[in-house]
Amino acid sequence: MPSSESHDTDRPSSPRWGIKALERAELEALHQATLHVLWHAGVKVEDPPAVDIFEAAGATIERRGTHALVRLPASLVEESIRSAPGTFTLHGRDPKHNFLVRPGATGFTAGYGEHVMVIDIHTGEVRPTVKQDLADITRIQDNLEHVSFAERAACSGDQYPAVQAVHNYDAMVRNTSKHVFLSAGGGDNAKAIVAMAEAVAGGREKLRERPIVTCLVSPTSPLSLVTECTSSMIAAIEGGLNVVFHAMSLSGASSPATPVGVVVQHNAEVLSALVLAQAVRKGVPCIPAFNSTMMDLRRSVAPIGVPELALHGVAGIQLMQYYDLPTWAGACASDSKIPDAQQGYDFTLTAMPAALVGANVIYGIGALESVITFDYAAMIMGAEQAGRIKRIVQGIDLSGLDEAVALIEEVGPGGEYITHDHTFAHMRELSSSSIFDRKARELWERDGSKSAADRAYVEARRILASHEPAPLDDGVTEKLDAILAAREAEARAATA
Amino acid sequence: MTEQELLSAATEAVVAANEEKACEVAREAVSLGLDPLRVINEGFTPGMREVGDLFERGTMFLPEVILASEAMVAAVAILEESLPADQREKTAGSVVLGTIEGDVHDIGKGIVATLLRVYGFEVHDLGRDVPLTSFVEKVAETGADLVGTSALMTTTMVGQKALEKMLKEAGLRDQVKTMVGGAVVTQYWADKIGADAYAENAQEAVAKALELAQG
Ligand code: HCB
Repeated sequence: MPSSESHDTDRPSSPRWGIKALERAELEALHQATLHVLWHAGVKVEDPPAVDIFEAAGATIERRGTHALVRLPASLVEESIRSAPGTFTLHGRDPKHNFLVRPGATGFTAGYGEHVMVIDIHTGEVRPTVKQDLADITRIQDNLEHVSFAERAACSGDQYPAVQAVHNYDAMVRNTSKHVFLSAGGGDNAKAIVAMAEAVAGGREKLRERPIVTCLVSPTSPLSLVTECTSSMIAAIEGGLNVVFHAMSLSGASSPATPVGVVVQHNAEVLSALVLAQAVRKGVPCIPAFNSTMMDLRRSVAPIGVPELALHGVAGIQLMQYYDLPTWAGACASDSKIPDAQQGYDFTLTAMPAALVGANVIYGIGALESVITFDYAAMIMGAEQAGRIKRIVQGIDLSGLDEAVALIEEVGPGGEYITHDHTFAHMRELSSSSIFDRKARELWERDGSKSAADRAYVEARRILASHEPAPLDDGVTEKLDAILAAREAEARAATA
Repeated sequence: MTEQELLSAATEAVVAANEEKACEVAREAVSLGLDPLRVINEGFTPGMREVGDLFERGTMFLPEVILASEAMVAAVAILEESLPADQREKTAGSVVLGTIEGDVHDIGKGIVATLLRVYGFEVHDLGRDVPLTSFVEKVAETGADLVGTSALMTTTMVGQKALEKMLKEAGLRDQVKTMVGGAVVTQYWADKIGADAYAENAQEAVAKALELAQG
C-alpha cells in the first residue's frame, strides 16, 4: 500500500477537487486592502534588532520608546511575496518522509499548537502534560500513515519553564524521523534547537541543505510583532530553518467581528512577518498559517470548532495561493472535552474545507477543549478521517471514462461486477476502514459493542507498545544531552 | 410619571444599554425632587444586576454589558450631583492587573479589567508581558486592595509564584490580596502558591474581587 507521502509527493501538481470561493478580482481587492493597512495602520514591533532590519529593508519607522511603529510600503511587501518560494521540501530526518510542498499537496499533523493537558492514555484522567507525553504522542505520529509531519502537540510541563521548548525538540527528534514543527520561545532557545538539529543532521551545512525542523512563531493580533516572535524567527532563519507564521486573532476581541475584516488584518499580520523573514534571508521558505477564530462574546471564551475558523481559513488560503505562497490551516480541533460526537463534527467542519481549498499543512488532529487538552483517541480517529478527506480532494479520474462506458455496456442491464476483471483491477482503490466501524451489527456486538473512541484508545496503546522510531546516528543522543544541559544551565543562571 | 414608573424606567434603560434614556430618567428624578439614593439603589442598580444575570446566562453580549454599565455610570453621575460628597458611591476597590512577564496572552485579562470596571473597581491595567517588579511597584504606589495576574502558559505561571514571594519581601503581602487566572491556572495552583483567590472566568473574577475587597 503506498504511503500518504509518496501519494502527495509523487502525484504531479494536478488540478484537484476543491473550493474556489473567491474570484481573482475579489482576491485583488483583499490584497489592496491589506497593503492599505500595512502602510496606514502599520505594525508594532518591539525588539530593536528587528526594527533595524525592517528599516534597512525600506520600511518607514517611528520609534516610540518600548516599540516602533513600522509602516510597510506596497513595493516592499510585494517584493517579499515574490522572493518567498511556493515550492520546497519539508525534510524528514529520514528522507523517506520528505514532503514536497507545492500547489495541490496536502498533509495533516496532530496537535493544535502545544497542548497543556492530556487525557491519560492508561487511566483516562485529565492531567497536565509532561515531556514523556510529547515523546509518546510524537512516537504515534511517527507511525500514523496519514500524518505527514510531527507538530509539537504537548508541552514538557515538568521541565524548567524557560527551556521547555528545547526539551520539546529533544523529546520529538528522538521519537520521529518525520519533519518537526515547533515553537522556540525566544532566540536563545531557537539557537539551542538549531544546534541540536545540526547534531542530528550531521553538521551545519547538512542542516542548511536539509532543514529537518521548522520554527513556529506568532504575530500577536492586532498588528504586533513581539520580541519573542521576532527573536525566535531571526535566530531560526539565521540557523538555516524555515518558519511558520502562526497568527491567531479572535474575531470580535483582537480582530474585527466580520470575516472580511479578520482576513485582511490576519493577512497584514502574516505578511509583516514575511517581510521581516525575507529581509533576514532572501528566499527563505515561509508558511503563513490561518488560525484566526472568534471570541464568543456571550461566554467570554475562544471556541475553535466554529464555522468562522473555516471561513477565515478558506479566504486566507486562497489569498496565499494567489500569491503563490505555501499554506497552513488550523482545523480539526474541537471544543468538546471528550472524543465524542461533537468532537467528530467539529473536526470535519473545519478539516474538510481546509483540505478542499488545498492547504498544504493542516494541523489540529487530537485537539480538544479549545486546544487546551490533547486526546489519543481523537488523534487516532482524526488520522483515519484525514485519510478519508484526502481521498475526496484527490477527486475523480476522468481518464477512465471510455473504459467505464465499455464496461457498463458489456455487463449490461441485470449483470454483475463482482467477478469482472475491471473490479479486480481497481478494488484496492476503494476506501477501507480500520477504526471506523463498518461491520454487521452481530459482529460488532461480538467484539464487545465498542465505540470508535474505545477502539482508538486500544490502537494508540498498541502503537505505543510496538512502534520503534528510526534511531538517531551513533553519538547523537550524547550531543543532544550536552546541548540541552548547557542551555538549561545558562537559563537557570540568567534567572538566578 | 409616578415614582414607581420612574424606577422601572431606570431599570429598563440600563438593561437596554440606552445611555440617553438613562440620563433622561436621572434628570427627571432630579426635577421631581426624588431621593437620589433611592433612585440609584432601587432603579439603576437592579438594572445592572439584571444585566449581570443576563450575561451570566449567555443571553447578553459582553459589549452590551459594557454599554449598559456606561449608561448606569452616566445616570448615577447626574443623580450624585445633588448628593453631599460623603454619600456618593465609593469605588468597589482598587485592583492592579496584568499578564505575567514572558506571556502575551492578554485578551482574557482585558475582559477581566473591563468587567471589574463595570462593577465599580478602579483598575490599573499594566498590560501584557509585565515584569514582576512592575506589579510590586504599582501595588506600593497605589495601595491597591488586590493584584490580579493572568498566565496562559506553563512557562509563565511560575511568575505568579515568584510574585507572591516578591510581595512578601517588599512587605506588601499583608495589605494586598492576590488573585490568579488564565487558561493553564487552576484552584490547585492558587492553593499551592498561596494566592488568595483563583477565578475561572471574568464573572468569577468579579465575584472573588468583591469578596476580597470587602474582607
Ligand atoms: C489566542 C491565543 C491562544 N493561545 Co497562545 N496565542 C494566542 C494569541 C494571543 C493573542 C493575545 N493578544 O492574547 C497568540 C499571539 C497567537 C498566541 C501566541 C502564543 N501562544 C502559544 C502557545 C503555545 C499557547 N497558547 C495557548 C495559551 C492558546 C490559547 C488556548 C486557550 N483556549 O486558552 C488561545 C487559543 C486562546 C487564548 C484566549 O485569548 N482565550 C480567550 C480568553 C477570554 O480566555 P482566558 O485568557 O483564559 O481568560 C479568561 C479566564 O482565564 C479568566 N482570567 C484570565 N486572566 C485572569 C486573571 C485573573 O486574575 C483572574 C481571572 C483571569 O477570565 C478570562 C475571561 O473569562 C495554548 C494553550 C494553545 C496551544 N494548544 O498551543 C498554548 C500554551 C502552551 C503552554 N506551554 O502553556 C505560542 C508559544 C504559540 C506558538 N508559536 O506555538 C505563543 C506564545 C506567546 C507568548 N510568549 O505569550
